[in-house]
Amino acid sequence: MAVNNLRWGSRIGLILAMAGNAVGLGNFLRFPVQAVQNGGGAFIIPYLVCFLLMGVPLLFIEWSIGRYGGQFGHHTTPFAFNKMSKARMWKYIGVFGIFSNITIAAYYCYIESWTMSYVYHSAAGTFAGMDQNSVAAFFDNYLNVFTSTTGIPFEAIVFFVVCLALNTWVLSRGLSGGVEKAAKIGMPLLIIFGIFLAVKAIFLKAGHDGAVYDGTVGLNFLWTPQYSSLTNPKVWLAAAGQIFFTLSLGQGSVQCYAAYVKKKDDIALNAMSAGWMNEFVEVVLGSAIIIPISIGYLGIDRVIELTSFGGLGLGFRTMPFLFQQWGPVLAAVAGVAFFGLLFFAGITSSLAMGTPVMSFLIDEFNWRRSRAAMGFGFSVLLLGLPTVIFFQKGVFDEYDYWAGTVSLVVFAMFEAILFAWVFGLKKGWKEITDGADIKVPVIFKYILKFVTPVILILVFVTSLIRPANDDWGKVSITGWELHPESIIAKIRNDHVGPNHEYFADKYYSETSGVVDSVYTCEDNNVVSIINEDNTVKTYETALTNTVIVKKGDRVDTGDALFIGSFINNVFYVDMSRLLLVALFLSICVLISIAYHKRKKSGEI
Amino acid sequence: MNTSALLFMIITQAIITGLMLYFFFKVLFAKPKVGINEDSYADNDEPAVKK
Repeated sequence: MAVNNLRWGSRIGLILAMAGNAVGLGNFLRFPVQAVQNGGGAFIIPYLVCFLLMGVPLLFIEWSIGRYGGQFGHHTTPFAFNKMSKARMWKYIGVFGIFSNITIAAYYCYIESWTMSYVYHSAAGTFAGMDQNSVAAFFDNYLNVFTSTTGIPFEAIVFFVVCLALNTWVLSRGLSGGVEKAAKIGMPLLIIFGIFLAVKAIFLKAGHDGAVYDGTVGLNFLWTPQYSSLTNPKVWLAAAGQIFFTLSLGQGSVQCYAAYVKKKDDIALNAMSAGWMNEFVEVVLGSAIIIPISIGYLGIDRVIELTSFGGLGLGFRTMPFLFQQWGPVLAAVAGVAFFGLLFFAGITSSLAMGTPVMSFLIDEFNWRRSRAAMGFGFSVLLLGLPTVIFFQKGVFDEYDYWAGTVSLVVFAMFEAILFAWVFGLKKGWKEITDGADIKVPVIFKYILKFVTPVILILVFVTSLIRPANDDWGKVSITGWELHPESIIAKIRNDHVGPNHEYFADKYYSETSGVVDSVYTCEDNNVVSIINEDNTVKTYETALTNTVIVKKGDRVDTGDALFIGSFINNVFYVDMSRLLLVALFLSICVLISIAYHKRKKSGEI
Repeated sequence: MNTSALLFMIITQAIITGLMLYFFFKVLFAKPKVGINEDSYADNDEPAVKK
């Protein structure tokens, strides 16, 4: 076994790194959007209940598993799980703790690179004088790797590689010299930027700087309790999901950081300190920035409409335009603060994703620290390039769904069962309380044993069979229509419409309506259709393909719009799934090789 | 802001900020453990132990 001499420098450094792991882009972009979509103030109640019944217990579980594994030189979940139970399957369940980190890092570093790029564009004044549509179009152009917004060819790829190189360099400096230093710089700056923007947002005045409403209108909308939504299962599921994302649970990174804590040192207080720091950044700062500012300028209805496309759209397509209303200097400062805040939130999380991969290579394959960091960087580059190049083909969303959503729930569910029922709560409780600097309330014994595993099983089962429109009243023994985001519907590709073949010579309309316009734009043929519900759907294809409809034509779902040669999105989606399965199986093979190596040398 | 929103916001944020500060200061002022030769943190090592 290699000598893994990674160590934390200080306890505060560990807590800041762990809080930085939890604080991510979701604290500022996902949480406020979830709150808006799930009843405003009423969302906070299920959110805090889920934090206490699922988040805090899982923090205890993950810190304990990490420190327990670390005592035996296991800094990643496969061998920590193997030490907790003799059953062979557990080390393969532990593979999720490496798989999720590489896969999430592959697309997360890409978003992180957007924030880096937007810091540059905000400082350079790129958005000055742009209207809202131009700022939105700028983002769309940025995502198209073949267009350049700065004159740098393949700009999105360049920023992605630079961002990944930065992550790799910090990781190669180790825990105390790299990750911890980054957290000690990033976390305070993030909080300062956050406070500056929150103060600007709260004191936004109608009639000043082009604002239509006071900043408090947004806060009022976000915090007015709507108790009726408390009985809606959708709100509870959204709250449970948010707790997962925000605390970086079910990922394997918390266990890895905690694996470098010695047996007699505290983990209970550390877990609480890092966990509540994340809640402060999310609930206090995260709720006070994008919603008050965007509602101040755009009004409640428009913001509800914009949040239906998620927080990323609001952050990157809208915020730069809103900052411009504050004048050129303040716009640059606010843009740098906002995207800088997102960058620090992102990098402290992506470093946490790199550490388990590095630790695995050092522990099991005797790699040096810098080589292990390069190994992580290279793997993420290979896995990340498809998300960058084929972003608009749905590859990014597939990675996010399977690794960033489903894997986390599955892994957390199994680890809660392993900890409370297989390893045993008696030993588990001892692991939590050994060396603790706080008295952990005894009620958590029962929550860990019964409540948390049941909640996690419920979250998993409901994710499998989630009904269309989240209408749980339609669920019956005779069957029901599934939500396109449910796991079963995803596997069956239910959301794929008439363009379900990998390769086709016709491209079909996915909606019914009337052709509003047919034109050519930037080497593409474009057909715009006004749907029956008055929304507009735009289809684009290369000039080499021929348009076979004209303005005023009535089209139904499945009617051909273009003829030529097409590779449909479903091809890219299925290929990305195959890639993820291949990655998971490859890690299983590596675990099996490492296991036999350890067995041969008598370490197991 | 209406009264219920204001109250709800202030109470929630005060609880979260209070707990965050409570736990953070508890860590800052935690007494060093007696009888442990080497803890998890390199900064606490004796100068001769540091590498």
